[in-house]
Amino acid sequence: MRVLIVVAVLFYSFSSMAFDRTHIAESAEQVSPLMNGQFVPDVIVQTDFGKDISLRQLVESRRSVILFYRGGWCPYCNRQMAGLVDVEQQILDLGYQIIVISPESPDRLQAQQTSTEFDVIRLSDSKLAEIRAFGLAYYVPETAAKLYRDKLGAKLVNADGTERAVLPVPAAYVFDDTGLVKFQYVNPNYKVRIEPQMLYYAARVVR
Amino acid sequence: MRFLQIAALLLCLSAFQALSLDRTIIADSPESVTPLLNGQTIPFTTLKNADGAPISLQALTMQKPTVVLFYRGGWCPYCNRQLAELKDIEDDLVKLGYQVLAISPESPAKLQEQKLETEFAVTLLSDESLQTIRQFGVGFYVPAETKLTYKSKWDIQLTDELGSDRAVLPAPAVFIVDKSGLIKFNYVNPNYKVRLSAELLLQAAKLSL
Repeated sequence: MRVLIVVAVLFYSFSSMAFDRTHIAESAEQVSPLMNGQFVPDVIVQTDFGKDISLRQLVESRRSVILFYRGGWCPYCNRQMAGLVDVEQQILDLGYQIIVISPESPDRLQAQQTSTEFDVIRLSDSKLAEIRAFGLAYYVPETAAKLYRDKLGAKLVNADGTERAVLPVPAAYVFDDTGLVKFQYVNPNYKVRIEPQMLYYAARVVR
Repeated sequence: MRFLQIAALLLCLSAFQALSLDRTIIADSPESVTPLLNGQTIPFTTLKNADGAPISLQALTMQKPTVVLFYRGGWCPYCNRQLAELKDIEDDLVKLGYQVLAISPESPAKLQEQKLETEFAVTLLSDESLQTIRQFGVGFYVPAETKLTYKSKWDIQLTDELGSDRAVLPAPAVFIVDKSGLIKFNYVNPNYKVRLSAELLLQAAKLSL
């Protein structure tokens, strides 16, 4: 009984504390993503060779376009990446680096790299640190997770100490070289992605 | 003891509820607003036009694709600059079939004053009740000192939340909405000095059709 009260009070005071976008949302519709005018979070991610790298350092070295995607197993993500080819050179010509981030492991990224030829930096966030820091993380419903694993060969990452798979809501961000968000597009409907043309215009106009 | 048990249970329940995100809660700062996302549908809500007549937002958006713009008020120079800049792309937006609705927490009477100053076909709407601002998840409480400064220095009367003396403003925002009420594009920036440029808005409007 006493425990119940303590838990309740703790729980309550925690939840009413200042807004925290890093908590994992119960559904894609409930994410609260990092906004325009805010700064790139300071988190460590891994390159496709498994090397630790600070995202902030990377972003502060150059203007950046960052795409969050679900993984190489996701057909909508692959279609989006394929569409990116049309504007990739234009975006690079504007002085940007293009970074794509998914919860997939460095090994899996390696495997995917051989099948594509984009001039992009692939990062692995298999610890979900960055996906959470950007406010994009949500729990995948069990049935969907099973489908992704069984039918699409996805290797989903579970939240620490749970059996609950977590994915990012697909998102596009444009950063200046101070780490400031100049533009973002986030859509919880994973079937709808930013138009490549829109991404290019955004990168051009906010520069 | 039984009472305590129930109280603890209720507390647990309410805490659990707090874990599921409620976008309509007014945020403590512009940085912690939780705006509606792309792919979501705008809520049913009622505003007032400059004549004080109630107007359903849906009744307007179901007629045409719509640019919904939230601004702080006619007293805000950044907002006026943004509205003035819209003039440059107004013809293009109209040709594309869009209407532009500009929503602020100011009273219909205040909108009347602004209406005289603008020459173009943006519809100014009053959300004096803060209902729409809440529903879109862009409302935040203005610190008491700021409210006081605005009042004493510039005679700006901000709109208070009903039944309290806490003033609320929207984080300036732009939503592009199709006729079914679906949000195709949004731009929200808690830094009120930075707005979506007219050029990028026009591109977004084109690509959102």
